[in-house]
Amino acid sequence: MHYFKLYLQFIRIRISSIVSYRGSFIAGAIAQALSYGAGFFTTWLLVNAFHELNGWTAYEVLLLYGLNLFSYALAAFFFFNTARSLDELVMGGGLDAVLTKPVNPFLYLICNGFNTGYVSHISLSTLTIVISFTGLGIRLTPLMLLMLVLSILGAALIHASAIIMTSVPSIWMLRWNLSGILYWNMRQFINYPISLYPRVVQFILTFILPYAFINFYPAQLFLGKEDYIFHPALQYATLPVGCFLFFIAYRFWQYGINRYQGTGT
Amino acid sequence: MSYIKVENVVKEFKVVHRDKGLKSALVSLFNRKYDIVKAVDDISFEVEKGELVGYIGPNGAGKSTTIKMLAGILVPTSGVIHVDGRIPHLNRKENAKRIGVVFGQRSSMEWDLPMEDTFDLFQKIYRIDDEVYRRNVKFYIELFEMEDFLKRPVRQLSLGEKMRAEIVVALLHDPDILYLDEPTIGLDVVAKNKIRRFIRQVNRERKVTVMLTTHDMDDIEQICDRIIMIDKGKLLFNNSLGKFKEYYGGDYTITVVFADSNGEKAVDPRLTLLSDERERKVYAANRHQIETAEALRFFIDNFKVSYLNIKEASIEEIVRNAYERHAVRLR
Repeated sequence: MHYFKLYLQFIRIRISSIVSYRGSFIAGAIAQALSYGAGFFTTWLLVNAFHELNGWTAYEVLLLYGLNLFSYALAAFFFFNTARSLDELVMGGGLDAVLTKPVNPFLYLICNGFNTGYVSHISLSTLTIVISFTGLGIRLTPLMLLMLVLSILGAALIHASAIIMTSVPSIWMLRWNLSGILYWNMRQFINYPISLYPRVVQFILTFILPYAFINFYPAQLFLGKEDYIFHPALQYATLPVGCFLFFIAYRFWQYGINRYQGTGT
Repeated sequence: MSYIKVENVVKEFKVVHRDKGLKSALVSLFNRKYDIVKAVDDISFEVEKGELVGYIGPNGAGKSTTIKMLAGILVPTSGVIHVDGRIPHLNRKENAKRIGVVFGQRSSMEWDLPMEDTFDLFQKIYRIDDEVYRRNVKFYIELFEMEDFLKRPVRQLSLGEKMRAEIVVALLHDPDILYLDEPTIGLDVVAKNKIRRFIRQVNRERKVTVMLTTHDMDDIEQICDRIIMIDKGKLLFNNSLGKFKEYYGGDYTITVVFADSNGEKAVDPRLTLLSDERERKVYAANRHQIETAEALRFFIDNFKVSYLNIKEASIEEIVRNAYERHAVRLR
């Protein structure tokens, strides 16, 4: 409850700040929409040119794109700013300032760090998901709608875990920019059905860097696809996988903070 | 038991060992050597409730590291810290409710908004009771004379106005202790004086224990009851302001530019030559041994002098002189 009130306060502050920089906010939103719109468009063109990718039609691939972008935007909304600026936060003394306050630094930074620039991602990806379902003539039952919400939640947790885990080393390495390679680019991989890829890549994307749970497995469920790779049950596993990864990510974050404080753990 | 008790505290940092040059940089890529740096080296001191303590020393002496350990941000490598009976890093959140911290080089204000928005935010962070909050905001706005710039976005405030807001924000939750890390850094003389007066008032009227680090000798003379001086992580001095002035207060430096080469003969046992660039020489002296007027006369009457300047010693110089002249009397 405390953090919820704190969060609302930060939202009020952020909105008041945006008002004084309205032009830059709008320009930023348009630029983001253009860049992701281009991604959307190339995916569309590509799939249309081939008619289908390994049994996946253009509308079905669009669902992959939509799920990936929507859950990413949800995660990045809360975690992107903090993760991106963690090294500055350490070097500029911002982390010290947080640690002098009677708050959990993780929750505090999430409350403070949300990024309003994701409005365009959310609208674009919502549109994509709607286009995909209408194009395919799929009407989701209430149960499936619930599964969609839960899967997106799980997928967002997977993205969030990846954002957190790839950025935590910057607490002690300071100039750490592998997050881009480890995560920001990897994310593009799953815009296409992973059944296309060699077995070893499928294995990696399922069991090592389980990005396939973000969109491929849940999409199979909603689209009634039967090109199972490992086991049909994986279609339902997105939320548990997300929770598990997020737990690990949070522990890793605590390890980073302890290491910063020098507790010797 | 004392309010703040620091016993044999050591804080070590591991830093990558670097030699000069590209070659050794490449070597260190594969074969890393680490140096253990002792930022704080076996320091002990106590602070009583209501004291106003100046914690001083040159850059890199370990001042901020000590403050961070007192605030529970950093964990001592060895030794024990108690603040009001608690070990700060083990009770970081509890401790945080009882302290206010201002890092002079870093702002906690919301840049684009009037300071009142940051005040509201801090009310939520510290869960300050509405009544207490309103009373404190009113009290400090009056005390710190902030009515005029209350509604302006923080980014438009002067440095001194900003610092006042920073201090107020750290006081809204009625902390027992206020840690100020370089509160007057970068301010002009007028703004510095105001800040000093406010700190004094907060200490007196609200019975807040204040511990401040500074570089400024005037800060020390005008507001501190007690001085703790450290250098290279070690404690050099811990006593009242009166004693501090007695030991170090009369230190000053004289810069002289001689018009001819006779300057070489300007030797007096009471003047210590600090730097010697032919005609331009810098001397250290102390009022207890030679008054400034006498020192001036010494140079003007006996030599052809083209430039003369007398300056109160800075903390860096005091620490350096402490090694040279007061080594025996330390502690």
